[in-house]
Amino acid sequence: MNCRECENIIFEASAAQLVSTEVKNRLEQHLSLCSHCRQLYIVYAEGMEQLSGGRRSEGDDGLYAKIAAQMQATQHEPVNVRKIIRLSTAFSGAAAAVIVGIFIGNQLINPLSESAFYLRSEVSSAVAYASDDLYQEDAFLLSLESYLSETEKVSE
Amino acid sequence: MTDTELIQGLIDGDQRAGRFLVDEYQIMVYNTCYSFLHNVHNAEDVTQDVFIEAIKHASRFRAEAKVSTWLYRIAINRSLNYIRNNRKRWFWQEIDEFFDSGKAVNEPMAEIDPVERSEQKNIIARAIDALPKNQRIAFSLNKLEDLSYAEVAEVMELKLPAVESLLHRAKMNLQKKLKAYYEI
Repeated sequence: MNCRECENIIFEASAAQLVSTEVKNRLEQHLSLCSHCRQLYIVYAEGMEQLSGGRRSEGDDGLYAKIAAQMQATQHEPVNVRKIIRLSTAFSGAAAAVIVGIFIGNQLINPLSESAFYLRSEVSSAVAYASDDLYQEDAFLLSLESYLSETEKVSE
Repeated sequence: MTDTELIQGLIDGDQRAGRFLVDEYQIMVYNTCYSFLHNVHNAEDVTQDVFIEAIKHASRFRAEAKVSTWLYRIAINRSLNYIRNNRKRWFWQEIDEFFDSGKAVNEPMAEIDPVERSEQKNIIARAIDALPKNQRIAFSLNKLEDLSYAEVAEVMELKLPAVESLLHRAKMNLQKKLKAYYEI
């Protein structure tokens, strides 16, 4: 048996059973000669056997009673007020953070926009003033235009 | 009691069905949990959770599978969730175990053999735990639970060649991971 064959047998065999007696004898013979495979056997095969050591073959007669009691306990579990308070504080904190975030974000997007300086009541009067200004500007331009055309005619 | 009668009994809240389920499958469920958790107390806790879930959600059972297959799936999921949720706690537990095993070696009357054996168990357990999820499930079911390839395929809802491939890759990965411990 070579090392590759030996490694395969070690890995293929489950923790519970180890192949046929003939193969087992050949394996043991190889392990007695090869320290590399012996180490693998110790680490893998014995480790697997150890892992299987905590397995059970007999049941616990009282397990159903424990499970039934646990199910009853979870059904009648009182409302955990502390948990609710802790969660509600966290939720309200998160909500406040979102609102503050929106406000700050809005301020950053529209920095110092003129509308921010007017109160709602002042907005209508401000619009009226602006339209007056525009009207006056238009009147001034008209008079200037007529003056210029008149002086043009005189010079002709 | 047939699978159908058992599930109907559980849905109806029949205590006899619950008791039958627990008595019939507790060893299988416990051993499956233990294969993943490598710890008696944790395996006992998760076993109880598995049965509670099975009893509470019996209506979710699909008739095309066997009850044992369904329980295997719940046990695997519960065990893996338990590992994920307790990773931090286990880190400290492992450190405690490390110092405890150190103490045992230093005690004059301590036997060396049990410590060495537990170290072998830890090496192989860590190597299995480090495998990718599906390889780990297939490997544990086949090598520790002694399920056939076909049974592993049924539990994992995979085709047979996929299970063969998973087990082959698991073996290769384990060989690689264990090389550090046995390569001389």
